[in-house]
Amino acid sequence: MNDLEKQLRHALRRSDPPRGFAERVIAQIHQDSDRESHRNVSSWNWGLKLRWAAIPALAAVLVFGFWFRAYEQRQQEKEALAAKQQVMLALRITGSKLRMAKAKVKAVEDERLKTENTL
Amino acid sequence: MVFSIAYRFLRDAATAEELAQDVFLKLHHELPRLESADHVKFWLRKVITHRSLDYARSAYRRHAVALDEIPEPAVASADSDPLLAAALRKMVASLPHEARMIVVLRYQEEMEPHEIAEMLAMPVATVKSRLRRTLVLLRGKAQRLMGETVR
Repeated sequence: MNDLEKQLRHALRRSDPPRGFAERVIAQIHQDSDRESHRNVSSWNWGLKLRWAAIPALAAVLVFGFWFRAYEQRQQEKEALAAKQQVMLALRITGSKLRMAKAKVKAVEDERLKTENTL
Repeated sequence: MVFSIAYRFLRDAATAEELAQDVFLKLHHELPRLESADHVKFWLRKVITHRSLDYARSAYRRHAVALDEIPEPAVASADSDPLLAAALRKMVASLPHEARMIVVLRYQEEMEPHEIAEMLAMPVATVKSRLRRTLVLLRGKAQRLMGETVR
């Protein structure tokens, strides 16, 4: 080992921390533990509050779900009825048009027969 | 040990105490995970080393000073030991961060190069070469300061 290394060891020998350092560390650890336990208690309180708040919220969601399903069913039934009525109307219109066309064809045929008989 | 590493590295007692307190607070949380007294010692050294380096780097960014701009201490004679020690501490303080930490760990903590390498996550060869270069630099400065008495 050379002189410089020896001098460095001497110059950089361990220095003691300032007075009261250990007490300050211990106090800080206590403070930190207190803060931690307070945080745990308050987070537990929040957890409990949230759980209680969740019950009515869940009930509301369920009620809304059932109501919405019934509403959707009613809407579907209404739409189906309207579609059926439209089909019936369309059939009725088609039927009357067919009857008119048939009457016209018959009139033309009668006219033709009458003309052939007179000749 | 914890305070001393930070103090020798940063040369600021208040900051060193603050960092050391943080490290002990962290130790309080980590204690269940540490397996033995040696493990605790290793953990403390490692955490304070990295905290000090991080602090120095962020402080360096705030007011960067080039190595050569730091004046050599205007002292003294080789036989005035406290003055030489103070001068050496100043010289060590003027080293770049990693070289300074290597010197502190080597000469304060008496750690071997392979232990320093493990702690700083760098190759052993790098630690050895930096240590050698640093000693050459310090010897040069010390000789200029003290004459030929420092070998």
